[in-house]
Amino acid sequence: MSDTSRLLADNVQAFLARHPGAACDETFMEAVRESGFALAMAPEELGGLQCSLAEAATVARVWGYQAAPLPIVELLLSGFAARIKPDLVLTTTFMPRGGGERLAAWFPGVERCVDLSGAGSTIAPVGERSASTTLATEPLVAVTQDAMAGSFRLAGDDLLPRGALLTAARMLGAMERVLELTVEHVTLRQQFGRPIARFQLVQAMAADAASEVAASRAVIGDALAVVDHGETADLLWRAAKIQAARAATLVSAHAHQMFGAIGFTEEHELHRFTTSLLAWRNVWGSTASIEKELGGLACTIGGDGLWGAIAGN
Amino acid sequence: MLWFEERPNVAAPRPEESGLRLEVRRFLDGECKAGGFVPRPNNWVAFDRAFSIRCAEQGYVGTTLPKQYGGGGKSARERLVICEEMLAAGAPLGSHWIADRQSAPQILRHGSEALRARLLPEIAAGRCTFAIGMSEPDSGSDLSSIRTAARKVDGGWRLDGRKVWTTNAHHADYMIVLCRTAPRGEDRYAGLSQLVVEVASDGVTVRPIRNLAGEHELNEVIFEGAFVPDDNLLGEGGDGWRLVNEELGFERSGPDRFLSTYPVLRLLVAETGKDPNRYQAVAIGQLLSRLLAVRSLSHSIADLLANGERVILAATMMKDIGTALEQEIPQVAGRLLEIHPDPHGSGFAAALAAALLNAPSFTIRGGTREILKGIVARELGLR
Repeated sequence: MSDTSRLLADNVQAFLARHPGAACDETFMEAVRESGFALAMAPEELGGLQCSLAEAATVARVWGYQAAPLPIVELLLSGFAARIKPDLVLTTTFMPRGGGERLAAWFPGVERCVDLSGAGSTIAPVGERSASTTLATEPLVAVTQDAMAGSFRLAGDDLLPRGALLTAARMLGAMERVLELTVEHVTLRQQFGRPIARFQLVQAMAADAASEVAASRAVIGDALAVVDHGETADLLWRAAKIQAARAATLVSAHAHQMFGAIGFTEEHELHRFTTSLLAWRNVWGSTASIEKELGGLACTIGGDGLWGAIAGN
Repeated sequence: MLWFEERPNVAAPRPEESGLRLEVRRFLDGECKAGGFVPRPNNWVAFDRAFSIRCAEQGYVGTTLPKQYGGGGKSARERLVICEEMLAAGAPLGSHWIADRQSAPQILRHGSEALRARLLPEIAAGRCTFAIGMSEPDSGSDLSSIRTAARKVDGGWRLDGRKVWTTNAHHADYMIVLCRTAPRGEDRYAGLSQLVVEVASDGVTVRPIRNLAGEHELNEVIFEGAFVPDDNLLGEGGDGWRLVNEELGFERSGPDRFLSTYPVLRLLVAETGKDPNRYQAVAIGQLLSRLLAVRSLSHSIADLLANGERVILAATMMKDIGTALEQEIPQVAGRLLEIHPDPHGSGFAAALAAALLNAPSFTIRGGTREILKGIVARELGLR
């Protein structure tokens, strides 16, 4: 982790600690605007910090770790897109829900969305705030087919890999917190006269969850570094997003199993992480669509060239 | 903030390694085309002395050993590059693999000067095969319960007992044997030592154990008063538990723990062709993403090792999920292509059969899955 990343992580931690109980609303949005974090990737002349993707990913990771509201990935990317077109306030479309209508993450002031349904990313205006939400009750905005008609392509478009990796980083932070909470819970919770951590089945579940988090951390870190070096990361960014999704599935399921009934309640904080994790698997490219793309890329490269594409050269 | 504070891996691309990668790849391609070897899954256990000597002539064996002992004096990263290329190509590495991976580093760190001067140059030349003497008939995962024992005699030790599941003992020149040199007392981990035993010595008998694929790779090794000279003791004597765990660290953390069935994935992609259906593309995408994730974890371990940091947690996790992937690849490949796995066939059919038949061993050898999860749990503070 670079010094800049460390500093950013500390500052974001401190900022979020000053806003306990923040919600996805105008008040918190204003605080985030003032903090400058959303402009981490924007150029200096636009008031940004001109951070690398890896550094911006630190912001997303801490956001995930704290289960903080507002779609931080979209805010960070709006800052990135400002290099190309200033004042672009972007969100991203999710999987379709029929009738050609799509949904995207809502936040105060959102104007446009990145539509991933076609080849490349298209910028389209958003419509009204929707009654629909994500699994984690995060607010959404509707993007109608009519709105799509007014769309335009963003030149120098490389938003998708960045959106996917920032989302994976946010997921990583959330998973790191879930693992921490779980280790604490199984160590303290007593049944049959001993902590449940003493049972081998519990140990194995915790070990599996920890391994998924470690693999995610490693591949996300590699993918961020490669993108920041300006090298081709066609395989690696997809692998990182798929790994984060696979990890999210297992970590959420195992955590709920180990927490038992208390983790199933609205009162307990566990669901603030796990329901988001399940939802984020399909943001900035659904898991299945990215898996299909990655497999398709491998087949295009062919068996003989595959290792070279994996290892370089 | 236990997890967040941990140093994350940010492995930047390393263009300086690409020259070496291409060089090794060209060598292997030439070998393969000239009939020097037939690519196979799980081939790093296959014995081929002549191939190992040719690798050594290129500097691909004993890469990290100091030059004074005939080694290449190169970094652990460079060795990782060489090993990855060899494994991905499905080359037969059994003659030098164990010596290169764990025996040589063990002798370098803990051997007498006489032992280092005698054995390390032979290993680096690809002329010396080592076997691992850990498991016994009554001691598998519970390694501290071993009964093979050495008693002190004039000028050395007399060794009695038996080891099992010893890969390539019938080809090996030497074997590093974990044994009791003091009776088991209060502390079950005390009184153990590691001895470097010459397999051709009097009092050493090697018997074959055929595996379920009908291959002779494993052996039972019996010691009946075999003499081992003083110079062949590793460490101080009595510190064998610490030593054997260090050796297991080398054994568990390498790319042989996730690339054993890579040749099957390569053939799967080749056989599927440029136009996969949705199911094939999704399944191949899942396998490839997992491979890249485990590989990133493996590289982060190499970086930690290079910085002299503790790697047990990351290495244990890597072996656990890496070997699970090695087992998953042939299962998925068999569903996607519906080609009859044929141990007597060729190409994909033969590779699939070899991978399916050998797969059960992947999560047993070098530390069972159960032991690995226990170690991870311990590192998490759960036991």
